[in-house]
Amino acid sequence: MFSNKSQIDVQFNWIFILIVGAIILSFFVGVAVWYKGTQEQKIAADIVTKLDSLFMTAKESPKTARYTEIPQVELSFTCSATDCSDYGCPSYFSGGGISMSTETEALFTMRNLHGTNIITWSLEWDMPYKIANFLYLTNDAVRYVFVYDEDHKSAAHSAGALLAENSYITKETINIDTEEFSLIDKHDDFVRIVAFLDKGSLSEAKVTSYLGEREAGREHWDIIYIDGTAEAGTVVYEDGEVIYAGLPLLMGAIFSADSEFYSCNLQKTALQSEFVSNVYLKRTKELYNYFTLEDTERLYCSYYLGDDVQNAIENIASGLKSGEIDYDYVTELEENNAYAVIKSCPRVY
Amino acid sequence: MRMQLLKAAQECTRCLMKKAQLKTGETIIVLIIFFILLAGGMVFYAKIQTYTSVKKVEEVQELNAIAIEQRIRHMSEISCTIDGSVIFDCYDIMKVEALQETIEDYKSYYGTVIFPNSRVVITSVYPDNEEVVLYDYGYSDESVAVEPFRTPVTLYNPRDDTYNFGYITIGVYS
Repeated sequence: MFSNKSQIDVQFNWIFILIVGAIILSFFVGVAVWYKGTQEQKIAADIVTKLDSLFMTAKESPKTARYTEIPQVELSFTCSATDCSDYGCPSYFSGGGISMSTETEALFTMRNLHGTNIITWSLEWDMPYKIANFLYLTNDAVRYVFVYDEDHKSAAHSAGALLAENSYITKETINIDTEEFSLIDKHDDFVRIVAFLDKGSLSEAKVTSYLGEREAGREHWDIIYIDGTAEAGTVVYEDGEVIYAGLPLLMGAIFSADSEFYSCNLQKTALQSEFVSNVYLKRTKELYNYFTLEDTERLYCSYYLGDDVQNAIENIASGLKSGEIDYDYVTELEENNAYAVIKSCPRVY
Repeated sequence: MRMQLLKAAQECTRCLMKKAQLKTGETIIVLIIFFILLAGGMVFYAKIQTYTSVKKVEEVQELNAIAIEQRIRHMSEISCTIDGSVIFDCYDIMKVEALQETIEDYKSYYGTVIFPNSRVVITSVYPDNEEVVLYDYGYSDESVAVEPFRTPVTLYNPRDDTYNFGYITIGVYS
């Protein structure tokens, strides 16, 4: 009986130690797992926050290209053109499960960017007054191939010359009237063929023979067709056709993943143009009243602030909103500004 | 003799049981102390976290003020321009006045996206003394603000083509 009791006692002790030990161990394992998860989220949030400030800095430094090494993280960009409101369009960029809103920022890029670097570039968009700065994002794993013929040479050269200012971008140019169209498969993440050609004139079969078949959902190349000048024109994506006004918007189309992504950012820009134009219109009207009612010695200045100018500003804003951009109004304002300076009158912009 | 042996065995069993009970008691006391220490640590950690989060809120408010200042600095609406080229840290006073009206038309956009929870005042100090409240979100008495953020600027008046010195004050509230 004595032996049995002591055996039970020893066994109870061990069971007690095991249970308590397991509880303590599971508590610390739980804490460690929770802490690891939190830290991972914190790191991802840190990366995304730093990228956000990098994008903001890049955006406010027009005509400056930057190459930045980043940790291995897949960046995803979304922008929904169909859900735009008075605030902007719902759009985000995310990495490691953390996302940041870019609701009002015009940001042109592919939907996904893999790799350990990011190329930021920004251009100012004037119509003719400054409306916004556009931010373009890509990396060295995305290749841009400019293909053009003699008929579309002018726009291709203008776009090519502007893009050449960004030395970090992987770019090639082919004039199909002077050289044979050929591509080398460099195993890039994505190859964007920018065709300054008539719509559909580039043989997809030929491109496939160089770059390989495209898998549905994991396309590694595409073709966009551009028809127009440096001032205005159309861009044809596989999912639709869009318009552009000015080289910064054309660049936006070249950097955008598809027509929806581009249209979404164009809508954000149109919203911004509405605010800016509103300010310029109010200022112009105020200056017009000032010269006609108060400073009548300089009544002649009101000529450069009159109805024609005010209409031009209104038409620019409404044109951007409706997608029917008339570049004549831009030219009108440019000329008006030049004449106003000659007469020592305040500029409209 | 037999009785004596039995008694001794019983005594020994009791003594062993007492020893085992003592051991279990010891373990329980150690555990209780351990959990008391753990709870103390957790309370201490929570207190530190509360203090840190208060500091963090202040830091976020300061960062928001800087972000708003950055936004204003690059706002296409109010910057001085010469044929579209922006002059940095210069604001066209007529554009500022026009923006005041525009903000009234698009209050929700400017209040949410551009100047969240803030009061932005543009003050001219030389040669004219003037103050323009660009945006005021209408803070209540309970609102807490960090030290307002000030930045010097030049203010251009296109009516008579003159420049004033001034500063922008940005207050962020929570």
